[in-house]
Amino acid sequence: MTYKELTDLVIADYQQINDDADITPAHALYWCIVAINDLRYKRGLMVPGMYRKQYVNVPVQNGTVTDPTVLQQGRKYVQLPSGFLVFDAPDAIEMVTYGLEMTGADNKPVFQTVTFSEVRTPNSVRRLGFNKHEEPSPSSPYFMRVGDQLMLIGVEKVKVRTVEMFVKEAISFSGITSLDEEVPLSNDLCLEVMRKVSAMSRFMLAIPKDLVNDGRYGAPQVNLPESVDQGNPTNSEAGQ
Amino acid sequence: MDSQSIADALLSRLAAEGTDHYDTTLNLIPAINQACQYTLAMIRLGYGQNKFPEEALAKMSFAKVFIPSTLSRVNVYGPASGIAPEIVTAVHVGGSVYPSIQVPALANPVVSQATGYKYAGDGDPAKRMTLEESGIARTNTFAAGFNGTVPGGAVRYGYVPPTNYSTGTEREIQISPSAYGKWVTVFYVNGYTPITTLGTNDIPFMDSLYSFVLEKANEYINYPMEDGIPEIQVNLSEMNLLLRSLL
Repeated sequence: MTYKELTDLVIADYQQINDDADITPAHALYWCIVAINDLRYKRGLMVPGMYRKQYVNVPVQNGTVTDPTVLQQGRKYVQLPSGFLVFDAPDAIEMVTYGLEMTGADNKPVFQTVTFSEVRTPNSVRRLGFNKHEEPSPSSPYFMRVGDQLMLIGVEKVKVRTVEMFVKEAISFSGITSLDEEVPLSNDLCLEVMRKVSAMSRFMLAIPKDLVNDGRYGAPQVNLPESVDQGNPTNSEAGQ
Repeated sequence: MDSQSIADALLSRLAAEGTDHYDTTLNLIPAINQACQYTLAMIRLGYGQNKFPEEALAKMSFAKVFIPSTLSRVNVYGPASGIAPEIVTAVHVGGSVYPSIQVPALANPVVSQATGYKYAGDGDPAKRMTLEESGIARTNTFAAGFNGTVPGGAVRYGYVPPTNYSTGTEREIQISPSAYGKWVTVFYVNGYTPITTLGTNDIPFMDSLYSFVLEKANEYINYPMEDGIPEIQVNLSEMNLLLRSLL
């Protein structure tokens, strides 16, 4: 299933209903992306590996004094690039690792060396120092997400140039280069995509029809929702 | 449609009314020309409202290949283009031409017709936009004519009908997003060229419009005879007659 097949399907279906509907492929694609991301998020919770993506050699940056963010000088962080949309879920960033001693002698993948544990709140970071087994260190580092940045804790005194990450990723409009790409979703979910798209688009296309102006004075307005008179006690709970 | 047969039918009708002194140059040819120009105006009106089959324009339809300028415009009217479109029916962007060549680079926005090449198809149809629409669509990601980046294959072109952007007589079609480096094929309907000789000059309408042209030419001749028929009369019955002729 390619994006083109999906968008053509949406456009062809809507032209069956309204033959002068002018839905551009970009418009249909955006509807599809919204539906696909919703499905990927929900299915990703149930099927962990299906929508996981691995990024290697993600550069680690050092905060500077002039950083306009919360990051201070010398702090290491990873900037999540634009178009890289990690789901807004607690476990969306599944794993962050770096090679402590990247000699390569044993040919182990980097993600088998040192793993950053996730810490979710700034208060928890302080508590980590109370326990010597949990204290952040180069061999037991942590990461904390701050918006589109990952703060790396415990590696302040060692050189970390890159990290490796596993994330559950959403797709973005700007991240798609061609409609001929395969949709990153199981084919069996095509029906669900269409169902969600039709629910969205039906609502949007229905609105202008309700507000048709026929250009006549005194013509009765039809299909408009009736307003509720708030001052009428019969409409209030107290009056019933 | 044969102009001589229209003239013969006109004479036959007029003779039945007892008038047998009509001159070909002074009466018949001007009446036929006026009827044809009126018919083209009616077709144009109906076409704009999606009321006409395009087959009605078949004898006047042309498709010419153009090379867009760096400003993404093609010159479709003026001495340099050699054509005079009356109605632009479609604009296709991209595709290929026959015989096959690459699009040459063109910086001059005046001479842009690629003479000697036929449109081979497979271009993307562009949406016709009003001048006001084009300004809004240029910044709307989801509109045809959006002048930004969208995934490949999701690009929808838009075009603004011929407009004079220069100090000369050129009229150019503006295409958005930029069509520079792609072929542009313009489908258009030529204006009506008045006939000067019966028989040798053909009338470029489909035969199904015969009765309509005849009726109108008859009216034009009757008018100076003070028959009380107004010179120009656009009413519902005429529209119905025209539609019946075509469909």
